[in-house]
Amino acid sequence: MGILVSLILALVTMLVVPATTVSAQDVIPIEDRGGLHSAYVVPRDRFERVDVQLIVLSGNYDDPNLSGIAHLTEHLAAFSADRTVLRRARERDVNALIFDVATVYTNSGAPEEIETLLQLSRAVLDRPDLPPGFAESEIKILHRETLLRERNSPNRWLRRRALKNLFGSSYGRANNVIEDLPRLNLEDAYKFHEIHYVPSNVSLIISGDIEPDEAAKMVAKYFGDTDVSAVPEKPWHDQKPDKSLRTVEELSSDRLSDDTVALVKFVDFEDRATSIDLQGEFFLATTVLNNRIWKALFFEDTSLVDVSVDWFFSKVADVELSLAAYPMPGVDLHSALALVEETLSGLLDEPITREEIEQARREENVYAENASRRTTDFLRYLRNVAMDGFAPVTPTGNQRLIESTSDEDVIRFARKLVEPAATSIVLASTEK
Amino acid sequence: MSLRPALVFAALCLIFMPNIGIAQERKETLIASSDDLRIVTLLPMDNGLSALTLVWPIRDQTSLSMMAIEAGLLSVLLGGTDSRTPWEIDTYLGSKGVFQRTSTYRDNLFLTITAPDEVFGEALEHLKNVLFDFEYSDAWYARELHALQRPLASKSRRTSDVLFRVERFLNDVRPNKKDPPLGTRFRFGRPSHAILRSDDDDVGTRVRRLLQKMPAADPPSFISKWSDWLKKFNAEKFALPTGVVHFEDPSSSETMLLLVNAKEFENEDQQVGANVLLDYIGSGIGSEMFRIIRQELRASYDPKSRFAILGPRRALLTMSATVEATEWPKIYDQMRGIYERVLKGNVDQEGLNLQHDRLVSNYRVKFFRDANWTAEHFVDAYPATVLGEIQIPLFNSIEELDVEAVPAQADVVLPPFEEYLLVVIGGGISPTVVFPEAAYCSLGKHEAIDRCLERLSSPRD
Repeated sequence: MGILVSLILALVTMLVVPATTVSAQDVIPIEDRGGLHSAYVVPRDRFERVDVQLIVLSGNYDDPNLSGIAHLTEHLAAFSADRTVLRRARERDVNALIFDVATVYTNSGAPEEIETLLQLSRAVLDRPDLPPGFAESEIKILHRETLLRERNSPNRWLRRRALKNLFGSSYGRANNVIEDLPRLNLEDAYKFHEIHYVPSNVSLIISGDIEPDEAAKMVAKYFGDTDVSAVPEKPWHDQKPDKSLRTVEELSSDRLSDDTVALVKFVDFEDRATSIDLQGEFFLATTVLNNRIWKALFFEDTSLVDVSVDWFFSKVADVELSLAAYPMPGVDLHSALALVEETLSGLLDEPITREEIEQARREENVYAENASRRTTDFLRYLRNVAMDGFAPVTPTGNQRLIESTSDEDVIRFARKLVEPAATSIVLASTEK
Repeated sequence: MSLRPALVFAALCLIFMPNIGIAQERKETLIASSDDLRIVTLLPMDNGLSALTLVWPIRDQTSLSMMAIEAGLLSVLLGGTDSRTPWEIDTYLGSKGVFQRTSTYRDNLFLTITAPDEVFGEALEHLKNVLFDFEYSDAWYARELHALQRPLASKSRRTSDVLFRVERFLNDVRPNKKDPPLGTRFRFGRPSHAILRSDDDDVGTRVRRLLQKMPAADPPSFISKWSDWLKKFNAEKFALPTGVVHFEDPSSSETMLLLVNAKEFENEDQQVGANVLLDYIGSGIGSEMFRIIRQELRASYDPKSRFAILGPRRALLTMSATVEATEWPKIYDQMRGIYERVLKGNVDQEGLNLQHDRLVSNYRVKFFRDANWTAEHFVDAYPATVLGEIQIPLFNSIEELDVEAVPAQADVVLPPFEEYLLVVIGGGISPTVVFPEAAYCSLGKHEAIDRCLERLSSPRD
């Protein structure tokens, strides 16, 4: 049977917009920034908007011996900044996110709104000032949020169990967030703000449709009066599990929809004090290893429904691998664990080839190109390395980084990641 | 930039392919249309990506069958060919930036393939190879089918898991739905729609070549023609029962409240008016639910509303909040109060204008960035043949809405609060005590909401 098709393409010419290309994206440091740890502008007219990311270089790992304090502080600072600057909350959405090592406040708007965006960012550093009763009751909101997320995402508590067993602690790189809910209090939150929300622990990235000189002028205007301050201590930098540790915990819960193998492995690059010079190796080696993990566990074996793999490279040069595997019905957890462990230990039984590294470079390039297409992805890309206090890396910057990383360095880095190291496993079964 | 001219696009569709059908061939179920094939070219996206969406209308199948067919399509796309292993296919897609997405919307199966403009022609060749030279793996199919299952809300406490079942219920409620013996192996022939987002002539030629090679249904289907079927589909009842569905979990300190109504509108203007009003009630930080339930009462982290379009002039209206178990009746009353104030037209006009602006902006972004979403809207608006320049009525209504006139229409475009179904999952007092007169259905621990929806829909004993 044939097909007869005619197409009429009636495009309205005024609507034809230029396609995305990954043009050079410069990261320009701003010198006149008061006491801020760092400030940058990344000019980019593609999105017809300006985004200001204020990054407090402290997050969940910096909780004192009371989990959830950094998170409570994030809520208080965000609402306080909004109230102080705008007076009317409904004008915009508050955008604050807390991560393990940093807290990010993003203010976005049209280019002509740049002054307001900087004011909102600056107000985050002021001691939270909220109406009587509001700050106290925000603790109640934090209860609701924490319990909701806990229930919605079982992986949160499975990973938490694994981390507690790995580090032998409920604080720092692990947390005790549910048990500590009744102890949350404002006094500790304000203290956290006083110690961590200080200029020398804050980085600023302005990106979008703005001239570098204009951005520099704005930063000087709103942050020029800040002073260099003491940098908060980071006890979690020193949390290192015993290299030979291997723990396995088994549990059962009616909150799980699927049986799950949760595994966390800790690899310490003992001879390095910082990860800044190893970023290219990290991106490429983990891409190569991810590909090998996926090939073995998902593409050449169908006994797992899904596998998720996440690598965290800390600023003090250690790596946390988090892996979750979900066996198909009828596949028991111990068999799934055996498959996972056998795969991880044998990842380099076959040497890494040049072609695999080239493939990793291609995939990194595609990832960078995709990040350039959407504002949210672009912002995520910028803050990724910046959350460690390093200069932000743009998609094009990352392309240059991976092109300049040698194959030998990638192979050396991968070998280190695969070496036996401290590992914690949770085998979680659904309650029938 | 205005939304309206952006939605002017052109299409000419003329293909002769009668019928739709599911036929057995080489022990595989052929999913192919024998209707007229509509090839449509929409405005290109603005992000450097091209896209092709293929649509197979899978009529009168239950959602379980739809899920099986979707798992079959995923198996074909990812399970390997006679020249490429699944791993090689994945590597190829990853290194070229090609994305494949499947979805079901009403009784249609969608496949959207997206790739950077410069490699899109190559991506189409790849698609052709997997559709024609796939190697079917039963183990792969079983895994895809399992992955498409959604968790029970009694475990996950996610509103999206309840709504997934509700949407499925609305789709399956028609009496002629049945589960024919489909088997577990599928192949995919000619779709009913091919929706292209590219202005490259070479791409257009490749698409036509691809479609020419795809087999039509043979023998012709026993089912009536698409347009006749669609009339029947649209004439069927679109409604949810009222009453209360309850999963009691005394161990939980939290309770999820969900109110849901299936609403049919007389026209697009009414639909858009309802959409903006429901957004005003619960969408985002500027909404009434956020302002009152979160910021004043400090009762919930996630109070929100959702307006989900489920066909021409049909939508699912929802409001939800997860609250402390002991407080749920009080928060329910607050949700009712917020809703009824809006129903009476008691609305802050500035807030409503902001919600309208957000809606317009959201549609603009999705039109230029989300090919699958646009294809769903196109199929809703133009299920049959269309020639020349066309516009989607819903998009025009959004752009041209007289926002000032909306509050006065609130009690016309929104259903009364009593017509919402209430779902309560968690701890606290039983709804049978709070609403002794309401129709009630209790959920078991490992049970989906489906049985309760059926039971509440049946006439009372």
